[in-house]
Amino acid sequence: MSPAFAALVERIMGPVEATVLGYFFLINLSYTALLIAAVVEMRRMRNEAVGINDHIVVGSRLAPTISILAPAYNEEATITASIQSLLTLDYPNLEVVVIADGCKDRTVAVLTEEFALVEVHRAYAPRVPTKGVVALYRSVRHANLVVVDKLNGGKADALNVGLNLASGELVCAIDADTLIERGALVRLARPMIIDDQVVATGGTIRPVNAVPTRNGQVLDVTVPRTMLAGVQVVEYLRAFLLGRLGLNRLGGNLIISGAFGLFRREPMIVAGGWLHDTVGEDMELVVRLRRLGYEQRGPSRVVFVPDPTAWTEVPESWGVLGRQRDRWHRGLTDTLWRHRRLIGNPRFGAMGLIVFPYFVLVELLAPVVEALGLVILAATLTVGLVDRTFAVLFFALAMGIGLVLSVATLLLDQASFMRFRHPRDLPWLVWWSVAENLGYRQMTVYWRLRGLWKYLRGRSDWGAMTRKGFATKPAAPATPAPRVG
Amino acid sequence: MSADALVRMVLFSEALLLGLGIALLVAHAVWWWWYDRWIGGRVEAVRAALRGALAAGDARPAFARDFVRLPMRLQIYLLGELAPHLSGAERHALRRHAKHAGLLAKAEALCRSWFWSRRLFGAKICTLVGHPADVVLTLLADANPSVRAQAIEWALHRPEPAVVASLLRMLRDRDGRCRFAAQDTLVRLGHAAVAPLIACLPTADRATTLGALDVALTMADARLLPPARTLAGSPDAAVRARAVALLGALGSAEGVALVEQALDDVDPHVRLAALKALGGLSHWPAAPKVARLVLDPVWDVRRQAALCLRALGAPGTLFLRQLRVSDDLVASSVARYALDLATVGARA
Repeated sequence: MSPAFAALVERIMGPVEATVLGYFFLINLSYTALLIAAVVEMRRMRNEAVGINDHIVVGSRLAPTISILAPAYNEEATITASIQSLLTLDYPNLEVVVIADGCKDRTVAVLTEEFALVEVHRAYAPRVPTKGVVALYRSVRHANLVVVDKLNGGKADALNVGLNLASGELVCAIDADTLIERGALVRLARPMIIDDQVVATGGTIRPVNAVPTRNGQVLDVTVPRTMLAGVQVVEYLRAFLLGRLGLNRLGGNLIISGAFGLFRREPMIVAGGWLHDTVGEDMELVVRLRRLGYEQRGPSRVVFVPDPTAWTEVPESWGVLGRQRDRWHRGLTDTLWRHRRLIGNPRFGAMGLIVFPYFVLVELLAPVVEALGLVILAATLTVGLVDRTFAVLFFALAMGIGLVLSVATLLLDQASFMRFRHPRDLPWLVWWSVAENLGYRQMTVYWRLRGLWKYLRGRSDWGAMTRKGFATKPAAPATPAPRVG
Repeated sequence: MSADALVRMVLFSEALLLGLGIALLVAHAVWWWWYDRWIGGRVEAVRAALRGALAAGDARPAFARDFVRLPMRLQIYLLGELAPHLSGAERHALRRHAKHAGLLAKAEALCRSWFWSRRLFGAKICTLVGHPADVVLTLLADANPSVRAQAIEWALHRPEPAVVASLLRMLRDRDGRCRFAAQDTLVRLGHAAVAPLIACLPTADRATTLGALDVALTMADARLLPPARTLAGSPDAAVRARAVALLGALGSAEGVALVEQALDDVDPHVRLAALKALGGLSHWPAAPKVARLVLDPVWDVRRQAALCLRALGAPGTLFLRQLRVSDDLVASSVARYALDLATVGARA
């Protein structure tokens, strides 16, 4: 390679390299800030949990009514276990609304058989516009179960139908394949009872793959031994316990997972429910609710609660996972673009000044800068501008920061909830934290870049998601008593 | 410092942090494994001794020494799993055992602590064993909302007018958990809370009135009729709606007449409350008036009117059958819905 060409590359790469390095510093600084905030917030929430006795809420006739909205699309494999789990939740005033979104499989038939459904005339006020309802069913066996069969219109449309039919003051949006822990709803409702300004709360989502379940409840938490599921256990923990918990303290969350979130119904209806024309409807709704709250001086706080947990099946094939991540990134981009005037806007307080810029700089642009960094590394190595040893050390440094954050999150989780009780799970957790950096992380960068590219080209498809169903164990005569301590 | 040296230094720090993190993870797991086994046995022994002592009525049970040596949160855990299931003589016995174990004196001392978490533990113990210590009264005005909420729960053991009056004042507490706990405790107090509630309703501010009416609605005590009658004429629609619901829950001839009047209220929430009340009472003479509301301009009122007709039994069903073939599509639709629900036996 000629010295002139090398000089040209050096002149071009110099400023780009400085930008990437500056970004690298900024991103890790924000992760460290999130970690510190998450530790402080975890302590505050644990104290708060001591202050309100869940048994009072569970035993009270004054507890606000919660309507669970469970949209289902071709979920015949998991629907029975999911609905059984919902019907046995520890909450006094509960309604379960299952919305079959134009299912092509036997979802409605399975529900009809399992829960003794009878069709009733459909009469409801379409306060939020939706696609047509085909049939409305009530259960002879469970007075609080409502099932709606509707024309296919996507998850957002299904949730809006549920919103129109729900009678509770609070609505809990979940995925039909999600298993919710028995006491989770009370803990999720706690911030709403404490503070009128809270418009939405969300709980932790954990992968259920390889975890044995019975009657829709998780029996024993174990770490999956397969790579994709195992890595996602660590990834989900970091996203929830570090990202969302930290954001609670730094200006509030912009995301409540579509798989498990609780909302006040009236502000939702005023806001117009979930948007149809976006693939990031859960995030978009939260941003819109918060924005309206600020603009109309209504409730605008969104709180993540680490304690209540919902279990969901995560993809175990690269293709499905890639489509999921690509869609998530398109949703993120779309939401940030729709609400772009919030960025740096002091009218929206910490949301405009801290949280929105964080999402743009760290969540949205991370794959772009990370890919750019890899290209620069390759280019500078090729022209000999960077010493190979230095490049390897720098790569190890970048990987090391991620590893430290993952281990810190695992420690926070174990010290707070001690979910993984088998000693043999710990090495697996640490191993998946390491393995995440060896190929998986680079693939997520690619998928997110693909999502960004698709968004710029105007693609808005969801991509197919296949389910294996839960690892269900047959019913035993008695459940062993929980251990004390 | 060169870039290479800087990267090496950061890498070294990372390695240290990583090593420390993994060591802490392992140490925590080992500690947990050991603690779980060690404490599990002790807790089981104390639990069995406590149950045995309660069953035998032993005045100085052997468990006392072991019980107080357990960590505070486990003492509370043990009391918490047992206390809600005890009443009468067994509850007295539990209090006696707690006293002999020195737990009551300790709880009172905790209630006076500088630290809110210790005050909370103190109030929790007093609540669980039903210890009516004066010191907890002061915690009703504690600066920490968690402590206040716990003290409110404890107030169930001191059903005196002054304490109930404090609870009524707390219906407008700035913290939601305290408002919720105050309402819940007033409901649980039942009879003892009725007289102070009646005294409070005419002079209370809006927030207290609304909270108190929710409590009154759950209690449904006949003595609440006069304030409910007065408040049914309030200029505030939210107050009127709750008062009408209360009148429906009380169900006297005079109250039912007022509820029927409320069917013509200008506010849809009041009409809605009146329909729910009449449905709850199955007051069939109101069927013609209720049937008219199936044509109300507000959708929720129309739907509730249909459901109310269903609850009125045969006279309501007659009206629903007529409405089912009505030219008004909404009226026909809600009537069909109500009739279908009747066949399924499901609630609305």
